[in-house]
Amino acid sequence: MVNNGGNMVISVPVERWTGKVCEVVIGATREEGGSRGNKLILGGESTLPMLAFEGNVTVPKLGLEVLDIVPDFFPERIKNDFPQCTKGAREWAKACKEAGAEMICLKLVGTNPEEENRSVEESVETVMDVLKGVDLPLFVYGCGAEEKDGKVLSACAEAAKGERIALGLVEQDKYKTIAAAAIANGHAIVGLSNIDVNLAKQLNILLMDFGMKKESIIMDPLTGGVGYGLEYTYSVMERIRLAALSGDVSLQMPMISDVTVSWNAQEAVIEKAEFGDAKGRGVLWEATTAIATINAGADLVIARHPSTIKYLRSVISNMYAKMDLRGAK
Amino acid sequence: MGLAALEIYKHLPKKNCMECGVQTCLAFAMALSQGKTQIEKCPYLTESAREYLGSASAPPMKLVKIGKGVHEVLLGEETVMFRHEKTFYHQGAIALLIKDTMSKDEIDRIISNAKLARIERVGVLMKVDMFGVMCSSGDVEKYAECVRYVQDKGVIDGVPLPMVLMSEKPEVIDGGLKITNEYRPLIHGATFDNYKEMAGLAKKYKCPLVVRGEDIEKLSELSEKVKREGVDEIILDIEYDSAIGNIGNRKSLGDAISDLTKIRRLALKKKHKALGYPTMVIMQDGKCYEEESLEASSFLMKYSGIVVLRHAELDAIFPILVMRQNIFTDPQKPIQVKPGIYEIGRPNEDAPVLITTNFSLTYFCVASDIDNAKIPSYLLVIDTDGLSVLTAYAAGKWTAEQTAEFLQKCGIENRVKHRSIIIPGLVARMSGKLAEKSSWNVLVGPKESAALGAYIKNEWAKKKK
Repeated sequence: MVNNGGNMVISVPVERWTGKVCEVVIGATREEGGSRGNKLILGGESTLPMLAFEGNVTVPKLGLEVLDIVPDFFPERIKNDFPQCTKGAREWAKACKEAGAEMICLKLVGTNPEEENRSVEESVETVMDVLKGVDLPLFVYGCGAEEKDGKVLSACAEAAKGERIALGLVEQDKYKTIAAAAIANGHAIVGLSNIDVNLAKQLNILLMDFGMKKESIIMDPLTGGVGYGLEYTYSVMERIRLAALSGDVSLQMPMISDVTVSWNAQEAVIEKAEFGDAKGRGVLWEATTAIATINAGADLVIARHPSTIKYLRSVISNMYAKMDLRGAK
Repeated sequence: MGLAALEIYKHLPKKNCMECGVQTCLAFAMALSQGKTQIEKCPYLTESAREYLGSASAPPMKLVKIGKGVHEVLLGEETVMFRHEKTFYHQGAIALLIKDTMSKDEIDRIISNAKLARIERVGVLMKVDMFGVMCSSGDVEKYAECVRYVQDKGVIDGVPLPMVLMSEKPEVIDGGLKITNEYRPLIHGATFDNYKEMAGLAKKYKCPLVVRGEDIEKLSELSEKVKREGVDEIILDIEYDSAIGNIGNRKSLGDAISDLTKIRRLALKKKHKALGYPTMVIMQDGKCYEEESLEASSFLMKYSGIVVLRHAELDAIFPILVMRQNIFTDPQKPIQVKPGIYEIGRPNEDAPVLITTNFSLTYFCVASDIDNAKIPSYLLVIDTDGLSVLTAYAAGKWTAEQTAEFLQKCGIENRVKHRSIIIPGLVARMSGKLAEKSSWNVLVGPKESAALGAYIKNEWAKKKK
């Protein structure tokens, strides 16, 4: 008879982590005073991605971005494949939900005073329009100009009171106005740090000192796309997560990865024989960035192309098939 | 490797004879623990001490070599779980699957894609590494014919790309080995049923051997058996592609990555010898190429030494290649681009001239932003030891003097009629001195390269001289 082995038992080294990632909930349902169809729960894991044999794992969530205008830089590929993106924020957001997005990240890039300079009132209207059109949990980002963001996001925070949205992006030297608006209106905040563990930690400490609860802070450690700094993001996310699991409370917030930056790489879109068909490559470029940050511990991915989240969804469900889950939908 | 100097010292003769070339036994122990000398240099070691120190100082994960010459693939010798702890030494290899039942056209397409997917980036050639040639026909002769065909057609730079010979039948593998053994293929693979014969072939032809097992216990046991047969270059296949005996299902991606993580931990942290080898994964069939590509990327990041792709689509291979280059970059050494003049688009003698550092990421961002703006330009790259703009300036690795000299020597003065250069906004403070030290009109560009397009469009024509 053939010996098929497997008779001995090998004891695998298991990490006894002392910390866990805290849960941040975005979106309030009707019962909670909002109008969202469901809540987005980020975080809650007590080990690294997929290692269910030693702790709690959670399924990473997938969202899509919506912009208030269609800027010049917007890739032709997206406009071709996803024409709803040119029909206004509300229609765009609806199409995102149909494509399977679990959240919408509404970026008010059109408020930039140097460019389109859309007003506070127009922006509030856009936000409310999207909230009415789609019942997904919502993130609202400013254009990055400090003064304008303060005004726009404060007004949006007030108008969306009760919906538990997330406001962003705040940075180390510009967070007070937006954080105050978030606290006053019961919203969460997304803090951006520049691919650096210490900067991420410092911003979290500042926000908590300012009065933000840990459960209302999400970290964006900045994503570099494939070929453009992905390795830095990957390692910083791994280090942040290891620190969180080792008990560093100021790094225990969930992490998000905005992979839309991948479309800036010319390799994602140009025609060149050895790069393969340009038609599907942009999606794979964006999805490859995402799969790397998911492996490094990202709790939420924000993408641009609906096909990106379609492929990611299949791969993620294979990552977490048959596993004992916490935080699964 | 791994042993503390004092632990080593306990086992040394403590004679301080200096015959090893070092002053004292303690100094020898320290050199040994840092990998700077070899245990053999001590002539007075007892047999048991030699054995203990020999095995304790061996690398926890063995080096395995596949292929010959320019296409040789090195796997293993990894020492960490996370790249930031030190670095990953050998990037995972990518193999494209060919079956002996495929049509000639299909095989030709796969081989030609492997030849196309050779792309240079930051001075390093990114490429597909191997062909996985699988016997699906069950026929010895048909398989041998296929191996011969792939070997003849798969020649790149004068040498055929190495193969993974895939069959559970020793006679099939033997037929393939007779054709291609001089190029050191990987034999795939040994099971509990055939390991004696497979190990015999691996020894006869001096080729590395894969052992297949659905869990770490079976892999460990089989790898020990093969080792006892005298084979030392082993690859562990976790059987992601096949149905698992009792359950009948295939492994999930998460279970497969958990297995690979367990193997790596056991090898590095427990010095579990039978698992101290590189690993491999064959992708599951029945998936679209987009999904396969994302799974393959996950496997390469999370500890798989070889990934065998069932699809050979270039638009999926390219992002995997770049992702792999990123993750396997040594975090201790920034990647540098070669200093010099880079043409973006087709610049003429009136084209804008810009300058940045030779940190690869800086270069790529600036080049890409100029390219997106569709303004043909000259981008000068100055040697800053691979530091980014602000870091280089702060560390004194990028100075006005050095830039003035570079402008004179790099040859740009013969390529353009004008004498205006755009420097990054972050080194605005250099502008005065640079203008003074060189004959150039210095324009201070934006702080972020994303704003370069707008800057050149609005300012260049007005300010250039």
